[in-house]
Amino acid sequence: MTENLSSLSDDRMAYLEGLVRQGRTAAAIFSQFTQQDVDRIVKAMVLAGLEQAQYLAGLAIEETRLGLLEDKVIKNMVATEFVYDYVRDKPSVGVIREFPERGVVEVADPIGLIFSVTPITNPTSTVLFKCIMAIKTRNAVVFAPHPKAWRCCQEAMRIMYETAVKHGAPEGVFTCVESPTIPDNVYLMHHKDVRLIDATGGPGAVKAAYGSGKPALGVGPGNTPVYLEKTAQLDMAVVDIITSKTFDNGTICASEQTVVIDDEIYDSVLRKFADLGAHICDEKETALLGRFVIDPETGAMQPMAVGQKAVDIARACGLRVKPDTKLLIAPIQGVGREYPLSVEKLFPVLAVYRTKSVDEALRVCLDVNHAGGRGHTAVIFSRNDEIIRKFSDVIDAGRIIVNSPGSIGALGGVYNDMVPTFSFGCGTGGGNSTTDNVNLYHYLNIKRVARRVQAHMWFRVPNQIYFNLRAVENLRHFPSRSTVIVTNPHLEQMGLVDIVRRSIPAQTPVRVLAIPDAEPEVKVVIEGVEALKLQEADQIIALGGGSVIDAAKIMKLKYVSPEADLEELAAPFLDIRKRVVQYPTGTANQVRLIAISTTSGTGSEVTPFAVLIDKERGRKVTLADYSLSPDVAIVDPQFVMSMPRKLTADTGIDCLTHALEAGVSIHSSPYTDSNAMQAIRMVFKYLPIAFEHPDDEEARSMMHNAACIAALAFSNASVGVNHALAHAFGARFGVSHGRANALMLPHVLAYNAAVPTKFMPSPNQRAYVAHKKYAVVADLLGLGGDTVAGKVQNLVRATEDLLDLVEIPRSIADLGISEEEFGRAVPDLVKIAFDDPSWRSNPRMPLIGELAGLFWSAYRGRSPRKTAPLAEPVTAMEGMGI
Amino acid sequence: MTTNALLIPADPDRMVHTLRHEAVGMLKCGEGELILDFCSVLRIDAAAAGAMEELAGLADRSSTRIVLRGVNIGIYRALKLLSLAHRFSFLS
Repeated sequence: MTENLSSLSDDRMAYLEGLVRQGRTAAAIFSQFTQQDVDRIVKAMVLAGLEQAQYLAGLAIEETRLGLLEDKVIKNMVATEFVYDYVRDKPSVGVIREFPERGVVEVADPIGLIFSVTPITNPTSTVLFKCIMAIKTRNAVVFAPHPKAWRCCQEAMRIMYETAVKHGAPEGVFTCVESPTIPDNVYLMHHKDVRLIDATGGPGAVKAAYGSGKPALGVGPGNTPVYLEKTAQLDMAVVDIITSKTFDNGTICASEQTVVIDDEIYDSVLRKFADLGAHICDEKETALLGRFVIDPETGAMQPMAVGQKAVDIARACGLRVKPDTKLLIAPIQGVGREYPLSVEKLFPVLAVYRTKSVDEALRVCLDVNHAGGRGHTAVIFSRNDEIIRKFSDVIDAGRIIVNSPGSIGALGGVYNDMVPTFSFGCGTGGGNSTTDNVNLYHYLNIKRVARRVQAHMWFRVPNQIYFNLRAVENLRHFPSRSTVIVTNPHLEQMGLVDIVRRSIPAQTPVRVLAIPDAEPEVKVVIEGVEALKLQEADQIIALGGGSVIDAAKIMKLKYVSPEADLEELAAPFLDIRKRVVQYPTGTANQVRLIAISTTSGTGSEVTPFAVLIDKERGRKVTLADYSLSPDVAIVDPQFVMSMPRKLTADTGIDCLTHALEAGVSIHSSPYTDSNAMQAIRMVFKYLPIAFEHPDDEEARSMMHNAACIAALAFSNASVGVNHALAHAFGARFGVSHGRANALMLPHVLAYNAAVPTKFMPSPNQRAYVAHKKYAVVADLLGLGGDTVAGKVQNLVRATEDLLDLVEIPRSIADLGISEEEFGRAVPDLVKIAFDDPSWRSNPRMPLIGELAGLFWSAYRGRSPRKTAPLAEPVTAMEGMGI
Repeated sequence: MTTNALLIPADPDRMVHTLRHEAVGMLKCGEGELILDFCSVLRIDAAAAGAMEELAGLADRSSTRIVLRGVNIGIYRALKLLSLAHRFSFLS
């Protein structure tokens, strides 16, 4: 770069600085313009361009000596009229698009000053096109045309500029470098006030643009392969190819370069070409032509052939052709340096290749595509959609033109609905930043204004829940051809299975599957599925605690969808709506799952969760999906009347933890809140009674209901950090889930009620409300307090009192775990707790250090204070047994 | 401290004239503060931007502070894009 710049004189630099200064000022002034302003100016420019289309085409021919006047006129008209047709109704100032359903608005901002390189092949049309785009988008442009086309380009720019300024555009909005040189371009490309480089030109200019370090729209060279497949409409294809390849003497870089023709139609197609004015070269002529129009040193086309007529090229290289010859067709047998005519030829010389198969055709097209034309354009003529799809898959082209001419097709808006352009993005294959037809949107900075949106939420629960004493009798309403009762041996011995059996219609065949009373293993599930198959079961009754019901849920999953991969289904997720794995919706067997819980804590009879032990891999697998939820839940207190006191306490506090965590979860909603709050009230009122008076039917019944109601809440709102801590601690020290939860609970309440060190991203919450919701709970419980902080403190104390009342140890230390042992475990516990998905719905994002702090708080335990008996909850719902 | 105020007309030609002559005159003959009132101006053009740049240069060389009053956000943005905004004070 330094070398290039050193050749610039001070005067030249001052001149270039002046152009930049004008453009920069114009761009700044232009930023104040409205949509109406720019639309008015654009329309006037388009009309002026149309008016001068022939004049400018003449200038281009005169200066460049390339192409055909008639076609250059058409190009100028496409660059104005067709481009206008595309941009006329498109907003380009302020709000340009709105997506109300997504809460997103797109706002357009101009880029500023653009430095634009334009080519020799389409000189005036490219300038007209870019001027219209720049005004539509409120940008200023400094043009640097190809040195051999700068006069016609400057004139095109002058016409556009004078019209624009006359209609109100800022002075200096367009300028053009006179007699531009490579050092000029380098200087401007690196200028700090140039915001974007739009380089439509040769590979050198494009490379320099991208090398400048500025945002650039560089577009590369082409080498368009055409596959003429045997199902194509041959007459149309031949006319289209001739039209395209001879358009402006082949100067459009999207024009056809090598046509690969199926063997079956090859001779016929060549005859048609010949009939319509093409000269088919023989082997000798092809070799002669190749030597003449392609530089043997570089393998690239000779500049003197570019844009020349077929007859002139033929004459120059000594071929004898008819005077009205439009196109020279040269059969080739391969692609590469040995076949010089297989490269890009911006003149009416077309290579053809005879192919024996579709595979060979695709290979040759790909070879042509990769011989200097990656990312640009490809053409196919076919009526076989499958072959068109295959071609589109393999070819590296921003534009794949089907059953139409390549050059005019790629320009867009004539043969298809692509965006009209004079600048073809070639993607990364061509070293470009886009595969688009460059258009007004590339001249804008588009800002996205994204409003906060509320994610859809849900409240999903099992179809039917039967509750209260002897609710099990409702089993009679469920006809079944074959029922399997999944339970554990202990419950069977207690006679609970018999109670269930009595409620099943007598004619229903029933088999009991007793599984171990522990978290289910894969082996147990597989055996269960085999039993279901053997019985051809259409109904599963899960009778037991969380483990039995979880086992039955997974058995049902595998029975209905044998292909279900439990390991994959257990993959972690952050948001259930966006999870990677989808649960199968199998139909192998139709089966109803009825869950009857024999504990009052987990709520597994209504939850969509199931835990499985994979002994072989030594890990616990948690499955979560609403398809796991039982179809029917029976909440019958007769199954929990004999629960021991310790189990009553542990499961009761588990239920309370579910409700308190669901209540402040970031996924909580009015639906889950109502359940959570009600469950909390019921636990505070009935757990002490159920604990002290195990035979109290009402207390047992209400605690059983409370567990189910809390589960309805956390099935939809999830739990929080308390569960993450308890899972880690309970597993390490063999402490029951409910008890582990209980040991953490008061500390977690205080933790969540404090101002978070780190907030949890939670689009559904408008503010941090955990402490306020705890205060609402305190109010519901009638705990008193004048301030939120005071109410929270009372809730923590009431919770501690409840724990004392049901004889939960005050600390982890009270379990007999030494401080040294616990200290050794804490680093692992923290890691495991942090990996636990439970905290991801906690209102406060726990930091690693905070998790350790919570573990240590639980170790040291709650305060020794004993308070007065629990305050009575509000009694307005007493009549409902609450 | 002397404070002079000048209403800038909306008409582009008169705007440039006012900036080039009246404002420059006030700058030359006084110290303190020159308030240019843009309340009626919807848009500035390149000539006005040029005149304002000259004014800012003159103010730098004197001990006068130029305050632009009532500049709308569109003009303010144009001045930012021209790296001119920091050379003035703004008053709503």
